[in-house]
Amino acid sequence: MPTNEPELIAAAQKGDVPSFNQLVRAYQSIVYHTAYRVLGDGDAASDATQDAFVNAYKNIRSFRGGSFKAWLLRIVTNSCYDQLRAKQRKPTASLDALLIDPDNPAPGLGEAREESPHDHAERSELAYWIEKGLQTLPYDQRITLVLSDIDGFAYEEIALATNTNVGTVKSRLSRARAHLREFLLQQQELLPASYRLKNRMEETKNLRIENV
Amino acid sequence: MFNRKNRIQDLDSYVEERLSEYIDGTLSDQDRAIVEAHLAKSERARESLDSLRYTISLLKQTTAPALPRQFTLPVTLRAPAQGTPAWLLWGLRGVAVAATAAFVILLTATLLRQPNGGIANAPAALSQTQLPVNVALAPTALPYAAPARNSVTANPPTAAPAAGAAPQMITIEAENAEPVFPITETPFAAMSKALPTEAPLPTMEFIPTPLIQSQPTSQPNTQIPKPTTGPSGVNSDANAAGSSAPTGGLPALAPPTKEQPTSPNEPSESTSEAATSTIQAPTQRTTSLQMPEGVVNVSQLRVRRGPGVEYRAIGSLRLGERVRVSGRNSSTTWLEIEYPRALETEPGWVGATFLEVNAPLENLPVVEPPPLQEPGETPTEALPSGESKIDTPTPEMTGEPTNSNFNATPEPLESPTPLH
Repeated sequence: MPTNEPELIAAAQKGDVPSFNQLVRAYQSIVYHTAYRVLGDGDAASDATQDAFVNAYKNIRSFRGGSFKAWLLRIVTNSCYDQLRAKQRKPTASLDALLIDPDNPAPGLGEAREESPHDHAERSELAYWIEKGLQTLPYDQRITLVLSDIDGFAYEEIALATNTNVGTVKSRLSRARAHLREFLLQQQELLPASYRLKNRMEETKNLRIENV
Repeated sequence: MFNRKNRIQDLDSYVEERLSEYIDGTLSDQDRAIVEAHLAKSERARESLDSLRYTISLLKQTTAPALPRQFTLPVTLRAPAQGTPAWLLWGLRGVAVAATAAFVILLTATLLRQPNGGIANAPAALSQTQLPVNVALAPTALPYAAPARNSVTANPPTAAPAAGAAPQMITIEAENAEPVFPITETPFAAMSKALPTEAPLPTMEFIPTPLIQSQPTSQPNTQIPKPTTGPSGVNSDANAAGSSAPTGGLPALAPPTKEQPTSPNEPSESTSEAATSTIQAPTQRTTSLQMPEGVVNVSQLRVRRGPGVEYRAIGSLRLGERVRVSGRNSSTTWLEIEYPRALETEPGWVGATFLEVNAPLENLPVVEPPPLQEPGETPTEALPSGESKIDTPTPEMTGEPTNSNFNATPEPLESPTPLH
């Protein structure tokens, strides 16, 4: 069994499933996490993840080098999109409307989480709102934001994964971040004072938490 | 012409739009200068920058949800495309072949002791220590890899182990190699045809390669280097029928040294394969030697009398145990196996997703479910099928095939047509 990625990929391209499964194990967390953040639903994320890996295996021979992770995430992006389309109950005209149900702007969030934010000790309220906020974003912005700020991709990789150019990525990312920021600020009234974004920012200024 | 107010507002917007890139450090020098100059003058801009930075930092800190299950693909998946021909790959893996050969010899020898029909003149070939290996190494017709692959490489521990529910988990993350694989999985039917002579095997499924001497050691396994179960699907493809040598009394089976008292393909597992028991007692096992073999890929797998949770359990198997697979139900959600008992085996059924079988499942004969006897019995631990795609990570998995998301996913997983 080859142990490094290029060898595993080569073996998988020859049809060796166990080698491919090594790749699956290496990437399934990030793939699932991405799908989960994009789709906001555990079951949908599972489906998208599985579809993505099956498609990746089917098309493995079309991988010609470069970042396997980016190549894979592109497949994941498509799988997520397919999941969203599959789950739409009503056809709509615009792309954004198609992917955000106005009556349920955060679809699946309620089902995906088994615990309410209240009794989930480990996660902060803020994390909950992050998830919720992500679901309010239009799909393109959401996927861009997830790929950039959760998966850590560079603009070029995101452009490849979403089949656009860097300029589009930059503008989507900028808007996505701003939207999410606005969403969080709006929740201030709903959150206890200690969780207010503004206050948090004051604290972090002192702590220099900024990861960016 | 801009009046001053407009310029400021324009500048506000201009900078605002570029804060994201400023944070990423991808602005041009000129733009960066403009932004920094503005930031110095505008508190509003600074606040905007801070809140943006903070939002991003929150995103970066989001924790990944636990993996609900493993997303590995079943080994029976068809290769995406045919690569190099099997024989070529064989040529490249002499060592593996040699080791495999040795193994197969032993197995064959072992099994030949049984007066089962099938393989006629294996002894001749076997004594030459040639065939078996080739036979054992099925061509890409069985595009699947050794079930229990020892992942030598460190796998990032995912949440899977915790869950214990990994229906598709193929690798046994055990340290020790399971060298048995390459051997044990021989396409018996083919093998039996091929064995007859030393002559080149029918090209169809066998790769005539010279064998190395069979090792008389009793632990052929250990000689099989891990790479044997190499990336080539061919290698593993060899693993078809169980660890059995061709059935058929081959009395002439050569040197006693080849015959090992212990089942060579069961170095560590307790599932007494037919090989083990048959060595002692030459019970008739006409079909068992031609059967494919399956390896358990969950921590514990319940074995039932019939293909359904309504049948009572007759026992269980552990992760890594091997059993011969004798059939399936019509929907291929359950597999009939030979569940090993003390001196023999009895038919049992397990959920199909929990066995990694070294042959395409569709080739298995469809077996009629036994009658549901003992109407008084209630099914135990019936999973709410369809609800969850994951088997509950209880210490004992019932192995019920829920509406396996696997079976529900795109056909390629089960389709016999090659994926291209």
